[in-house]
Amino acid sequence: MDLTAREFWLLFHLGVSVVYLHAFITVLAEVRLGAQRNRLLAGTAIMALVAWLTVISGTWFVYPGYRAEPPSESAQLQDYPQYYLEEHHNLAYWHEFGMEWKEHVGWLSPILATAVAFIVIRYGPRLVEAGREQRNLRWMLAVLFTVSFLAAAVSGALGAFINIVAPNTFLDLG
Amino acid sequence: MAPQEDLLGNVAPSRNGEAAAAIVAAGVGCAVFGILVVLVALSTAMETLLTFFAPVGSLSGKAIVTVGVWLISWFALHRAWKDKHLDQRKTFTAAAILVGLGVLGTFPPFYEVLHQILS
Repeated sequence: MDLTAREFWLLFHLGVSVVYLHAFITVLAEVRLGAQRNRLLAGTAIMALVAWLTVISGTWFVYPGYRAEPPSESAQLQDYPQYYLEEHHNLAYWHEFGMEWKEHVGWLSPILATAVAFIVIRYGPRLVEAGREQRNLRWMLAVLFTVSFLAAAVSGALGAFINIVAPNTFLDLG
Repeated sequence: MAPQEDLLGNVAPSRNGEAAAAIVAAGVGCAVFGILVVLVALSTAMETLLTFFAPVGSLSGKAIVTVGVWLISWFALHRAWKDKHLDQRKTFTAAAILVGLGVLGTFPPFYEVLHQILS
């Protein structure tokens, strides 16, 4: 089976987002079960890297297919998801709220994940030392880490719903 | 983070400036992105200005400008704070407000209401 370029990039985008989810769960488990330093370092670094790969591939390779303009009035709207959703009043909300929030909130995730990864790598074992300062910093990292994950989760969930609501024939166009 | 002793043996709190710089800069990045989203929603001129790559629309400019501002602010804060020990409560509060602004700015009902009020 041949993949079009659009199908390839959508699969890449989905694939790295699954790795991101897995890295988040791994890091959370490591923190909960007593962190093994190397796995914690690797987990946060991988999470930051795949967060970047997810938003870059989504924005520059998948999104242009979603928002492409029909070349003429006679063009089939099924091939142009944004216009298809906007044309159907009962579905317009999926673009106006769903896609608008998805395309933006996802960009917060890699920025926050990178800050967390930097601090975990830079401070290393000093982070798990006892003390009020360390405890506060760990708490702040947990908050940033969770916000990063929630931003990605909202973005991913909205993307999944839009994939169900809008026709995906645009992926066949290559 | 480990306590450091000076020549007289006094234990001084270790420096947290690098962590503070990373956290606050991340907040700056989020806030800038949220503000750009709102500005584009309110102004077609901003939308045109931030359309760096037509197939992606203004999202291309929002993303590139945000990453640029985030990295520059991180670099500047890192240089300014790396040898300092900052009040965690203040830096965390500042970062939380900035991240909150970023999240709020990306939320469509927020900028739609703002658009209705201003127009």
